[in-house]
Amino acid sequence: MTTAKKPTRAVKSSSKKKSPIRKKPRNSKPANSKPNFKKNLWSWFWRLSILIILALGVWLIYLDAQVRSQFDGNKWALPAKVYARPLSLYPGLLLSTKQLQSELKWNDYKAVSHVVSPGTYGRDGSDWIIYRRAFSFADRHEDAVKIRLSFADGRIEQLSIGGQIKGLERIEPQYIGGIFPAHHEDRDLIALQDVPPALVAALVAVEDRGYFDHYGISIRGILRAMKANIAAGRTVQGGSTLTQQLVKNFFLTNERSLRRKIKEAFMALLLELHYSKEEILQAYLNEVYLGQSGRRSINGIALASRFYFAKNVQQLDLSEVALLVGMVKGPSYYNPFRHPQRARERRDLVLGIMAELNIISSAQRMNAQGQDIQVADSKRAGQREYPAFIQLVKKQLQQDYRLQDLQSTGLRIFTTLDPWLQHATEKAVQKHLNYLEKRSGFKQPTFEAAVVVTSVDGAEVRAIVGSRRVRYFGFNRAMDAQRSIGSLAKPAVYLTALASGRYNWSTIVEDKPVSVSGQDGSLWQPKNYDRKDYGPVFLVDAMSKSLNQATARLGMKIGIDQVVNTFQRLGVDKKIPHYPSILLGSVSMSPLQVTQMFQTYASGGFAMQPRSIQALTTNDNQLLTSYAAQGEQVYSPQLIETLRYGLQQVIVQGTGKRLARTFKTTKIAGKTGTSDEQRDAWFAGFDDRHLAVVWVGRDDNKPMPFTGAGGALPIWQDIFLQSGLEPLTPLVDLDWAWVNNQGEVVERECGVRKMPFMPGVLTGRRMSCDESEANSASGSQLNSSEGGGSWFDWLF
Amino acid sequence: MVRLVVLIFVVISFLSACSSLPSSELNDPRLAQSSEEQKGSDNELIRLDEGTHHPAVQVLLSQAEEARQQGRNRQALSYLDQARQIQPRNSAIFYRQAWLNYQLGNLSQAQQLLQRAKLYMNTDKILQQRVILLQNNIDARSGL
Repeated sequence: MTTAKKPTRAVKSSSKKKSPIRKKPRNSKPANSKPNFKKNLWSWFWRLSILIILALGVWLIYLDAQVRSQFDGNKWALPAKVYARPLSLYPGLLLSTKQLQSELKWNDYKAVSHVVSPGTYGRDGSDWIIYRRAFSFADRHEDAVKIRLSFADGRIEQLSIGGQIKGLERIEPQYIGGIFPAHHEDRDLIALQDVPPALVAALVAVEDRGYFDHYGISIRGILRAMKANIAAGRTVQGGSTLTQQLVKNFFLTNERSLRRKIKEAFMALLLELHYSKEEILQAYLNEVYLGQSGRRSINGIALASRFYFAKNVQQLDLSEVALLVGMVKGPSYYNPFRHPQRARERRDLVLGIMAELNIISSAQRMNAQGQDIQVADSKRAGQREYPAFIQLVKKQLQQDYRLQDLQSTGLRIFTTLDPWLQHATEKAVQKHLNYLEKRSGFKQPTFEAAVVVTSVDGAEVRAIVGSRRVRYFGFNRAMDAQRSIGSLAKPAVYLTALASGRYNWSTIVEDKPVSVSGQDGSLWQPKNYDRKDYGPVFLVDAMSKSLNQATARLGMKIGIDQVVNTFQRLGVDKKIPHYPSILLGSVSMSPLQVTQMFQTYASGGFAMQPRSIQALTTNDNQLLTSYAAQGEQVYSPQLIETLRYGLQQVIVQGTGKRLARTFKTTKIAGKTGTSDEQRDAWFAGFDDRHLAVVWVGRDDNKPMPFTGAGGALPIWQDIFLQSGLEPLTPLVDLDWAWVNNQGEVVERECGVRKMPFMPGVLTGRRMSCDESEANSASGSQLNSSEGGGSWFDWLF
Repeated sequence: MVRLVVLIFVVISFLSACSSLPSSELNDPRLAQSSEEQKGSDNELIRLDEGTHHPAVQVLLSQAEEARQQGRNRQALSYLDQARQIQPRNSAIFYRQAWLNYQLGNLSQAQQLLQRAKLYMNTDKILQQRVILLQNNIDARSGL
């Protein structure tokens, strides 16, 4: 290797010193190669240079195209913004002051003594004054208004604006989350002219003083940074201009390499070549990263202003402007929620620079520096998300819209979520699971829960919890957990019986051991929860007391196929196996599917899909879609009212008795459910306004030391204690008659129980007391009242 | 005698207090029903905001009518659904939802909503007639 190199060097050095000799000995090989080599070298050098220049040119053209294509038009993928339902205010509305105050607080309203600006509220004697902000609702834009509310008996008595009585006003809905692209960037776009000049001046002063003088890169800035870094012995200052910072955030990654730095510099130059300083500054103000809220990245000063201070940018005071500008350097390090002292020091530094450059006066600086760091309540709804609900919204929207459009076009989604009910549901779940674990001796979180709350008439989803970790974007048990429903299946069995016309609630059914052999020779022998046999019982008692043997016998009599058909009519959108064990709920469903089933009972016979979306608008508020309640009538109101009597008996005398004591009314319909070995605890119930389905279980599917009544029902109870319970009103009037122990309609004097009958059923004569007594003595009516004979009677 | 009068007054007051509903229930807008007005001779609904309604419902019906007249039928339906959420068992609202859906040719939707109007029907004779008329129209257009 060394020998090969030496001659080359020699030739090279000799050619420099003795160049005239080079031309003579043409036939001398070494002498002849010297000029050729030099010529070749130059030639290659030029060729290479041209190639490099060409490549650089192509690269620059490519960069230029990249810069222009991404910077023109829509610069950002705007996530869809999701809003809760607006709080409608109207005379007669039942609204506690606690709820009103909470909802205002969650919506970033501030309590003040004098209500003079939008976003504030106060009291005037017993009246409430709310200065509602301007807002573009799904149907129209409404200006800011000052609303006066008076209350009587817990209801709104009157509302007025400027002394004029109004029938309806709305508080703008809470922002409850977004449907984000993969990077989870969220932002509100703002035009440069809407940004306070002090903020722009402060930003330029702190981040890039020569911004209006350079062409994208600043040699002076780089040298200054180098000097500062060498003096400090570490990196203390960056030399990037605002344009370079924008390029890095907008086009590039955070990779620290020379290659990235060169690319950044060229792109900054190109950006400055094509766009004005104002355009670049506006993009910077919308792009800049200013914090994190869970998975959500807070970008742009408009969103950051709302996020940290619950204000529009225009409403920021000097102290807040300085803090926001100061945070650009390190949003996490200077986070005012977590590090108020650091944030304060940084703010004061920015204020000092602003005063130094005469952007503000010394008096303004001193005044602003004297203020405490005041940030919005970090627990307010604007910063919280409702993962289970957002997942449901996303799933339902994807039936009509592409995910890509939801993530990028800035749609505004107006939903059905009731923040007050959601709050009550989350609290109830967390409180009760903790209690259950403590009572059961578990030291670690062991149980999980899922809840769905809907309106009974429109199936609007008002609250949903998919996990005890209510802010966790993970497995949504309310939507996706398939769990055995236990006795929640029973109302479908009894509905099938009532619909057949051969049964009514006074029909006597036998609760005694039952044994059914399967095709594989296995025996199905269900027992009651308490292992007792209750003998002949009224049909209604078999359901309200959740008797397994009586229900299994009834189901076998009316037919498995008939019961499966009922499940499908109720709106259950899954394949139900035709096995006898489905009669007692050995069928798996999600809480949402159970909700759909019970929705039909709650709504009076209309099968409705739980619905989470009210309306969709574009980013500029053009209405795209509005959804209204839809429901096909699958059962008559008379039949459903009859079934609801049975569900109310669960509260009167059955497994839900606790609710009657708590609410001091029996006008509640519900059903407990417990799967085999107590692996699942359920309660589904409704009042006149809401239906709630509650599931409690373990992710590892192990047994639990409680039933549906002990595990799930108390959560339901807590939710309704918070939301207020409205006793059920009948859908239709049923006919009533007294019946004897055999379930025969008799005169009042010898009746043992008053029972409801569907209109038109009580056509026959009431049995006299003598006849009743005679029948009772012979016991001959017992079997004939069991909805007619069948092969099942013959078998057992 | 005076004592007797006072006693009777107290007893009557007590009984009347027992038999009356608390004022909070009487004011419940969910339980309030609308009252239709007859316009013209054929009993057909002409405007969505006809009749006497709860003030909040009245506002929404007026907005729905305004939207309908401007051809913004989707918004009109949205206002009607907002009214339904305030009074979920007001047959007059369900009837209007059915009526507008019928006008827009959504027959199955109109039929479903009319079923609800029938379920919560009150004693308003005009509304009853209108429901029958709309049912006949839906049947006729559906070829029943």
